[in-house]
Amino acid sequence: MAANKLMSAVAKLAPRAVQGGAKPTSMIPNMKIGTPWAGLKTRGELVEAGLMDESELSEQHKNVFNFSYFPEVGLMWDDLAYGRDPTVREALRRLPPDVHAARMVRISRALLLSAQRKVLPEEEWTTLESDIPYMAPYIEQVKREKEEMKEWKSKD
Amino acid sequence: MPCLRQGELCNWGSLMIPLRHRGLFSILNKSVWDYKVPVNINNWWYFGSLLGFMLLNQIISGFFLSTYYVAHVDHAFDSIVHINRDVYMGALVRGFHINGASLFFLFMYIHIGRGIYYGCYRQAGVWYSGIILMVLLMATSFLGYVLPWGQMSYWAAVVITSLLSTIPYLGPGLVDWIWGGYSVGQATLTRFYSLHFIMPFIMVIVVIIHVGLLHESGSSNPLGLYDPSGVGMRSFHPLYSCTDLFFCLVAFLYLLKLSCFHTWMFVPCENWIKADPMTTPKHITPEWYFLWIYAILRSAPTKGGGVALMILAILALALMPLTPLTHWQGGTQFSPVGKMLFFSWVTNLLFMTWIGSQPATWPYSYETVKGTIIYFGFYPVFLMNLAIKANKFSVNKYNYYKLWTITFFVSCLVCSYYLFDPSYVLTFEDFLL
Repeated sequence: MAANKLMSAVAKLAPRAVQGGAKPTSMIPNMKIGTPWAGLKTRGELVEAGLMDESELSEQHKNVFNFSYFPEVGLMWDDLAYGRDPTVREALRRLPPDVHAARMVRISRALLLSAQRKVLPEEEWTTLESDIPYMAPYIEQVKREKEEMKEWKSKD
Repeated sequence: MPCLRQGELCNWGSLMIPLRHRGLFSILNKSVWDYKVPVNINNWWYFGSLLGFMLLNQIISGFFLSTYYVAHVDHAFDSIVHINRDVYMGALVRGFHINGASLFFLFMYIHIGRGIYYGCYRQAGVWYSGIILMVLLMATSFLGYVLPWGQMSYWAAVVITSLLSTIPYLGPGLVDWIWGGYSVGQATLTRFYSLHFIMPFIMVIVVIIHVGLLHESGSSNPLGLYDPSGVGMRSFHPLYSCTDLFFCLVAFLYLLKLSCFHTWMFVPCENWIKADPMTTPKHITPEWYFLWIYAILRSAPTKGGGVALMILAILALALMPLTPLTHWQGGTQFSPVGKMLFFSWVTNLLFMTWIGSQPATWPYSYETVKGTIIYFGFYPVFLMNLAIKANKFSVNKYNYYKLWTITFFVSCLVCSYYLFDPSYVLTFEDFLL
């Protein structure tokens, strides 16, 4: 139910693709790396707004998140999206340019830190509350379209 | 192609283009010189090229050995003695070959472990060609182990070829076909020699396919991140080509040290005795690199069960790319529980290696069963852990881990019926010290 609420909230910001290939407009006019984007909230804000269950920020989740290596190099969970998967690849393609650029900068920073065998200072580590699930609306959009296409083809 | 101007003999500008960018060399350039490698790869990534170096070492040392080796049951052992004692540098070349095989396997196991730890099995084509290479290497090394025709060579050939008799209906006939007679003999030795000679060249072809598939998808990196922008990438030459050469030199120096000072460390004492079909050695054990799978073979009380488990042990690796786990990288490097599972599995494999060298009596037989269960239990638990972790933080939930749970329990039911003897029940005395 929380996921449904989240989806309905962000669906307004991620318009359905129409025939003719209209690209989704950018929803983050003045984006800064690491700051919450307009229309896309951090997990902490989503829980406060009631769009995500409180158990998502439980101690167990926080410990698992914090003990994983990727927050220490400044990555968010959605930065680990596996680009070889077709659904995720299409969702990545639909990311707004600034969101995509921020993602690339974080990934490049992580790769360079990994190459130097270093991590960020502790105050710059990503936390579960500051993590932004920015891929969610686009993955949902792609999945919805695939289901519609499947349903359309089954009618042939 | 630019046209020549009047009076011009050739397009002088084309001579300024480096050779590596012209014609067929450009294909090699794209695969080797200018191939883009992630900048953050660590030392575990160098074992791939080390494996290529070891294959080259085996081919060259094997070629020199083959010029003196005689594939006849009466002369094979003596020809090996002749190589050791009389041929100039013969013992060193044989040392290179024997110890090279051990290093080959060590590097291969490290290479596979790196692949499992960092999630490299997601590149399915590369993974499957690697599994084929692993099977080819195991076959090649087994065939080569038989050639000295010592006691252990002969009886290892008898034991391993006899395992094929467990194949329903075709088994006994297949064993006789491979033997070329009614027992391991001259025909077996000759065909094993031929196969041992040709298989490395088949491996070279598979290696080219393996590397080609890798270069098509791009190398993985310790973070497992897919970076299409190419920001964190460097050309293979000169950074990684020089580092690869350095590690090959280190490996060669270590191989030289082993061959000069610990030449016969991996040769069992029974193999210094010529093969005698009438005398069975007290303990038949394979080389160290097969001990873990030998332990799995001995863990089942039935012969067929042991062979099936052995095949499943390798198939379990092959099934890893088939799990539609998650759309997130979520490799072991991001999972503390995954790390614990992985290193427990590695420790178990080391333990199985030791157990395989022990006799098949209590308590070793009991411990072998435990080790086998841990080995097979690792795969579903490990992959389920990655899937659960991936689902923990994803807003889009994927329920693929249920597929593995169902598969695991169904396969346990099937295996328990066919592979284990119901009369093999552990009694109270088995638990007493």
